[in-house]
Amino acid sequence: MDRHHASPFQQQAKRTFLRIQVRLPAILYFNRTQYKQIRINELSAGGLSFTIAKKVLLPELFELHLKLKPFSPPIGMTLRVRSRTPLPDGSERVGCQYVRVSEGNKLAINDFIWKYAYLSSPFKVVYAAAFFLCLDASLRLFLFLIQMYYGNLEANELFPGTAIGSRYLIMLLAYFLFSLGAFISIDPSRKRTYVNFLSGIACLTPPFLFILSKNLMYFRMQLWYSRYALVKIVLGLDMLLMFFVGFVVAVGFISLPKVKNILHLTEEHLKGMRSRKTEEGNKNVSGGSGKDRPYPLQ
Amino acid sequence: MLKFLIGCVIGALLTVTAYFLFPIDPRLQIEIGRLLDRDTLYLNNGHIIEGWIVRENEQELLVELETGSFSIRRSDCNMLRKNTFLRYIRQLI
Repeated sequence: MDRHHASPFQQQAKRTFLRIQVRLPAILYFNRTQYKQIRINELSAGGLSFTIAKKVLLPELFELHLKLKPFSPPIGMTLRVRSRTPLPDGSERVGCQYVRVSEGNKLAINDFIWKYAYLSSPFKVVYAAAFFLCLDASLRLFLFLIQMYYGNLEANELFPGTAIGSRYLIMLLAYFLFSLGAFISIDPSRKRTYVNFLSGIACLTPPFLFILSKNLMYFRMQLWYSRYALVKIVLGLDMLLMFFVGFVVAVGFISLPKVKNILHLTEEHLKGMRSRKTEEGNKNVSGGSGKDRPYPLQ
Repeated sequence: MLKFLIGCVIGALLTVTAYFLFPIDPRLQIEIGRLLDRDTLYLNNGHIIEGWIVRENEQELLVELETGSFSIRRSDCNMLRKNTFLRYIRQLI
């Protein structure tokens, strides 16, 4: 199959390095003077690619300063052009290989790719949101038990009774179970799959709606006018939790296609690596010298 | 995750066992009950009194404080809020 007509996932299975889709700003340098501002489209531990207008002249060897994060210092490297592919819009996709990169910068690139591929940020925020929701639900259940025990104080006597209906207890239990479900499904020790991520986000949605309705109720009951600082602190924390969980749920749903793509890409990459390893093992068994071993993954 | 769940189950079992083996001090229970039972009186002159309304009729209220008790005319009170903290708990959960 032609390389340019194969899907990115099929291409990835053949590659030694995992290649990720990015949109990172970079500056081209030629003879130590700034030449052009570009945007990196693909990044791997062995090279990168970007799109450039056809009319722009590009030497075979050039320097590039790349910013991996908006406020991080730029990473300097020397690149060699390996391929130039014309695109339908009249521009060119330029594929380059690293020629000179310091060890520190190489580690920074590897770390960036690893974090991207491992989806550490999306999974971690969902995990944190689920954890805080579990704490909140436990606290609410504990307070429910206390108010149930001291529920009939209007008569100035101490005996257990139910002041809030048992329907509310069922709601609180559902809130706790959904939070726990999100916490379990997104557990970092389990394999990261699309279904786990989706179920984690789906489980976070009902608790989010619950705390959203509670916060609206606090406003309606004018609890923010309370004289007690403790009540205001609790309300503030609850509002923070609501915003955090809302942000996580929204970002989670928006990034679902991206998560699916990345997980598929990494799976294909691992499959390719495994098949190359098997081939290599077969060659060694059949008397191969081992000199034609592929370049190891860094 | 399995360790976490086992930890939760063991923690819950230990808590329940401790509840039955070591009963809570009745004085503490009463203190918590009194705290939740505390009433707030908003007087017409702007003062706020926190205590326990132990008896009330149409004309006056008998209020108990930490330091003693006193009677106050109902007409001197702008607003009464009974069981302040318990109400807060109910509204917050």
